[in-house]
Amino acid sequence: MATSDIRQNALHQDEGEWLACHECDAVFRKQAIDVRFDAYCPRCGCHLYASRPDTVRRTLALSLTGLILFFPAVLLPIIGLDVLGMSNSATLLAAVMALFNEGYWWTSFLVLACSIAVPFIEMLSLTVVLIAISLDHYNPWVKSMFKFWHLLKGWGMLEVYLIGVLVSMVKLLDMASVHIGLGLYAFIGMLLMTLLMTLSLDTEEVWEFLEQGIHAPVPHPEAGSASTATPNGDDQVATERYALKEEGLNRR
Amino acid sequence: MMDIRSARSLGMASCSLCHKLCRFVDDDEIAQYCPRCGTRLHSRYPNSVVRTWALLITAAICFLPANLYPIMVVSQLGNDTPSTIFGGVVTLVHHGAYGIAAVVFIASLVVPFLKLIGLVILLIKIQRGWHLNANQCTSMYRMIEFIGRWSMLDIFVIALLAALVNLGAVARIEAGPAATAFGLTVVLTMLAAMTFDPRLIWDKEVGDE
Ligand SMILES: [Zn+2]
Ligand SMILES: [Zn+2]
Repeated sequence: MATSDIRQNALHQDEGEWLACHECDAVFRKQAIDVRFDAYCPRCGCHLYASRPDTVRRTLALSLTGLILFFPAVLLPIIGLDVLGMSNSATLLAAVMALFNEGYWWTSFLVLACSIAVPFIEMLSLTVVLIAISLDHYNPWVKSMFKFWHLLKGWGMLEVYLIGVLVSMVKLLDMASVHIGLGLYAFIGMLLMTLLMTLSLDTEEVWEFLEQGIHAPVPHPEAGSASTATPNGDDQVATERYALKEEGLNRR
Repeated sequence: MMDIRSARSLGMASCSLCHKLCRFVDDDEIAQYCPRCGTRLHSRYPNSVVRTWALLITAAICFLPANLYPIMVVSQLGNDTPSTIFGGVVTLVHHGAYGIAAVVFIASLVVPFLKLIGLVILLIKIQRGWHLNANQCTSMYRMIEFIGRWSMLDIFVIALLAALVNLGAVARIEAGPAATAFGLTVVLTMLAAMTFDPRLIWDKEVGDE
């Protein structure tokens, strides 16, 4: 295609059909991809967009679970220590407070942000946005909240913290006997939820919901998946969702 | 290979926050906003190179005290033993925990160092027009952005140890002054990676005048 054609098309057609790679600025026409697949930039290999099945409901379930696990993860002891008949245990919050009480307020703020505050606000804001979408409730503040979520991305470091717990345990092994606390299990659960959330969330779809203020059309089983090919089990999933919706309508 | 054009050369810019492709007049004097999320649009991050340099230089300065001062002070039965980041790695090696020692060594020494060097290479490539493979440079940038957060490992370890080993006169672990400097280094290098605009790597490539 000649460049002038690209420009003409890009300017006159719906802009949503075109996208630019955010790492190399190359412009492409957006193509429908199969569910569970990802599109990468053909020039630089950057991840462009993804297609995730039922992204709003699945991510909402995960973020709600994560929020529930957050409280035991923060309040229950992560690791315990027994030395010479004395014992002590540390929670996520105690680790922050220990640094703060020693006068390292900046470092304690950093630990608070990366291990507690950012993961919590991330899960909370995403939950609120997804609930708002599920309820067809579109407000400017929902958009702001999703924007806020984007800004925090990258500062939550639960996986690094988990390795940190491991390193601390190894460092203490020859000094005392160390045991795992209940909080660590909740923490690992919360970490898993945040990882699964990044896998199940299709940010582009959420933005489209927020932009248009409409629900995604439920694919009609007869109409077939002509425009967006849905391989393997996803036809069935779509049909099931459709059936559920019908059932709900009948009941009403 | 198909004809690849940059959004900038087509009079468009993708939103830095939500990645929507928007029409854009290439003039940073005019404030233009993303119709979808309201973020101010820029074809390239404003003053990306200068800001990245500033953050990198500050990070490099902080990296020195981070390594010279003790990051942790262990006091056992009245004896204070301060240890630096490198000293901590050596202690782990003495205890035979080679795997963990390697993880700490990579996370707190190799990663910040490679980040600094890598971003400096990218900046010089852009400013001096070095002919480096753009694909490799982008991979390096992506790597830098991905591994940066792992440097925080040592800070978390110290926080946990300080909370855990707090047994009065018997045994105490406290943070040392290097913790502040090291935390600053990590945050500054992360900010530098975020301020750097990877699209600058591709701006002089063929197919784009
Ligand atoms: Zn690209
Ligand atoms: Zn936007």
